[in-house]
Amino acid sequence: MAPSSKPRRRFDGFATFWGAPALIWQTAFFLVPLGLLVAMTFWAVKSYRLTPDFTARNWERMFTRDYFWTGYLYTFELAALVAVLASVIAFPAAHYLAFRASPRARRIAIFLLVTPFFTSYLVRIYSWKIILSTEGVLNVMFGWLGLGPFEMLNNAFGATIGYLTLCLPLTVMIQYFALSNIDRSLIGAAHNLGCGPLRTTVSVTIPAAKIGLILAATFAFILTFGDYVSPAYLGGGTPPTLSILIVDQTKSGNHWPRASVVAVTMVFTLITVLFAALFAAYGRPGAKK
Amino acid sequence: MAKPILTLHALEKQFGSDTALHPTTLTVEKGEFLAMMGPSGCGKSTTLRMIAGLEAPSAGQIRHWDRDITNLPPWERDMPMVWQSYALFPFMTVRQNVEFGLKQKRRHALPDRRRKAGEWLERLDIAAMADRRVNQLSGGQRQRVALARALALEPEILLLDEPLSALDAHLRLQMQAELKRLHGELGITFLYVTHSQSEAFAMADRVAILNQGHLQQIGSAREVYRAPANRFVAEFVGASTIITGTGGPDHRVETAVGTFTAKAGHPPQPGQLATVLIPSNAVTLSATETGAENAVTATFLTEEFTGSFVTLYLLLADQTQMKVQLQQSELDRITLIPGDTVHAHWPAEAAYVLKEG
Amino acid sequence: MTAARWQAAWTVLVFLFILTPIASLVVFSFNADRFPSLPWGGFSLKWYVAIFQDDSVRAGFWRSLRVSAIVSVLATFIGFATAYTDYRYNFRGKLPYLAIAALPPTVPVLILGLGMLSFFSMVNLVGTLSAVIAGHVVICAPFAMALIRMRLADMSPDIEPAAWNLGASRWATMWSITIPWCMPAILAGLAITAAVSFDEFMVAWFVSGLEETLPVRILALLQGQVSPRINAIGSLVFFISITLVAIAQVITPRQAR
Repeated sequence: MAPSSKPRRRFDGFATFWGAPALIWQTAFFLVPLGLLVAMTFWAVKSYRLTPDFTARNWERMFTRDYFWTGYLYTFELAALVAVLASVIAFPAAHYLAFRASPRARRIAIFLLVTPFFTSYLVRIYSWKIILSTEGVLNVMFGWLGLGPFEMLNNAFGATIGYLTLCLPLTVMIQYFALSNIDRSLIGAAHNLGCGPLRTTVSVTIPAAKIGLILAATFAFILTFGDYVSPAYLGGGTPPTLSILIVDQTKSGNHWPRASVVAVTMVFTLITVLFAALFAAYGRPGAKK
Repeated sequence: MAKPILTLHALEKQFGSDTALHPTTLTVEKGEFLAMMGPSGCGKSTTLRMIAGLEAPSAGQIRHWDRDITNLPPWERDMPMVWQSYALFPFMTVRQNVEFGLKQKRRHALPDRRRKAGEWLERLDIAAMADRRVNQLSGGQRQRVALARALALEPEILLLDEPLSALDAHLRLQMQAELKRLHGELGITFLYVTHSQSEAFAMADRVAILNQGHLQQIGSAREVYRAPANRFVAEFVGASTIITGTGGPDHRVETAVGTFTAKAGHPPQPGQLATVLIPSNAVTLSATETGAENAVTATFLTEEFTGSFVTLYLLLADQTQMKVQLQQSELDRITLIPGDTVHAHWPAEAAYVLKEG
Repeated sequence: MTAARWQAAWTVLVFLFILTPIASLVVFSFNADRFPSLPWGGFSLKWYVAIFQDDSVRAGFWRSLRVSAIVSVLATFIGFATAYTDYRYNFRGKLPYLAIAALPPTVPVLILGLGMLSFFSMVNLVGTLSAVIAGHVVICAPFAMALIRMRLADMSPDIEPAAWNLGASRWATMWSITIPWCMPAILAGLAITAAVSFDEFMVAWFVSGLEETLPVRILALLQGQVSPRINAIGSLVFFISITLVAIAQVITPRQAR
């Protein structure tokens, strides 16, 4: 479809004008900063000053620290838990929207999903902080029923609420698109063969939407794994997640190389998870995304 | 001889390891209607696109009169094209579409443009919808807008890439007549690509037949019809029954369904393969054996009506299909039911032997 | 059928969860009480008044507006250029090219922030809005690129060649055909990238230093005591973002599903 109708000998100003911006900008402000992070993992801090070096000390130091591994495992487990939780919570809603809702309800739903996705996550977390606090609306209402007050902040519960706020809209959206793209005749065939709604869902719908469901869970994982705000402001900061470690090392510790080690480890983990997910979804290495 | 308006010299196109067009040389005369035809993938559209500058040739040259335009970008070639998909600009009105080419390079000032575009809108009978958006038009109307848009530039050469294939049969025939009329009136050179043999033969002065990137034959419709260069062309034109056999002395050909005399075309070589074409309108049918020289017994299969002609399909003893074209009036004299035995014969002068090798 | 009823109810609950923080914030921003909770303290606009009089909030707000305006233009331009390059050209290295262009959303913002902090301190740009702008464009351009690429996919592949064939150079074709066709997606891209930039706090936090954008100011307030002003600020931020996103959604032409 794309022609190459110009003789390639001359310099093609038009193509370069349109092709170059992304390349230049992304290299300068995306690749170089990330590359710098990787390089910095080998640098040293001598008398409070950052000096280029080539040492493995930062890696050694981090990898031998308990708090690093605790943090790593905690972050990973939490992200996996949230990914599963979000997928489970989202599924009945996505299923309803894809199969049972009227077109008008669907349009409204998509609008309501897309909008929070782009509106200040930070402010929404702040809002939860108020709602979940011991004097907040929820505890007041529990109080009317003679229950509580419940400690919903500064623990894993609070952090989880925050994480769900972050990834639920996206999870529902991706699942919804995956489910609505299934060939409806498959479902018709299942019903024809006597499968009830639940059995159909389990043995036909879910496998058919496998790719979308895996992608939704993967994105939930990626978002949660890297998030700082929820564990810091709703989770109380302990035990620290990797993101909190990074911020600590940077803002207060000012030890950028160590922060970089954590960051690079995170990126590496996420790339691995992404490839594993793509493999599980598409079944072949190097398959088209 | 007059200088050709367009010359393709050893023009070649490869896509990776796939050859779309083998080195091909042909010339186009000023004012002629040349149809390039062949089955899908034969290279006709690729050739047209190279002429328009939308594909770069792998080798070879394209000349417009004396000028080498091989590497000229499409916007400098002045050979507007009528597209199969019409390619009308969707957010513009009919008038804006037609004026588009005139606007480029500030060729024409506004009042001049308006006037010119207006003339062509009138000429193609779409003036009434000049200010409508193109997505409100029917297929036939869009076709006319596409034509007007190209013709408004008053080019020397008009390129047409299967422009009628999206229209229904009735409209297609109408447009064929209109295109032929326009060609006659305007005197522009038309380069027309189609996969339909009937379309090409109805409109073109000359036809060029391609297959798998090779030019098979180029000549007037009559030449191609009467003296096909090879078996592919004969089959593509579809006007004859093809029988193969072995050559003998005295214009004889021995086949599985009988020995015939074939006097037209190339003399059959004794002992060599000979391919005989029996034009479908040269065959006479009878219910009984007539004892004529070139005759076969066949089983009637089916018939096909096309306007005033009928094409009958017969099955010969060796499972070859024979095509017989009769006038409606002739058919009235014979009544046939599928499965009937019928006798067919033809004159030796009509049987054409192809050149082998 | 009860099963469908339960499913519908569940769906409503999910949406309530997603929308509660937004709704609650807006409601409580009008609450006269210092601490936003029940019982309701009475309707008041005093918190909005307070933030309009707060210099640091006003300054942060204007900075955010300036930044998002510039970011949206740059990011949409880069997004368009990349989408067009993907649409029109095939070349060796196209896959890595697209990967680089599309990758930023998959890297956690925190890590992007850290990387950019390191980079900008090397070139002495930390604490400037230019650094924030540069970082935001990286994050926002993929959104514009996706929107515009989808729109281009709907343009018949013969349209541009038809324009060239009629005498329009590539620049003329771009100007009179391609860009007008993409205009809804371009406008939607401008709106979305403005929204994303306006809300972005992580990169801004790392890189803006004392030139705080509004979200960074919010972050600072967040670390302190609960302040009712944040409700008012937050509601304002919501209002702006939601308006921008709504505009983008309305403009984006969608195929009927």
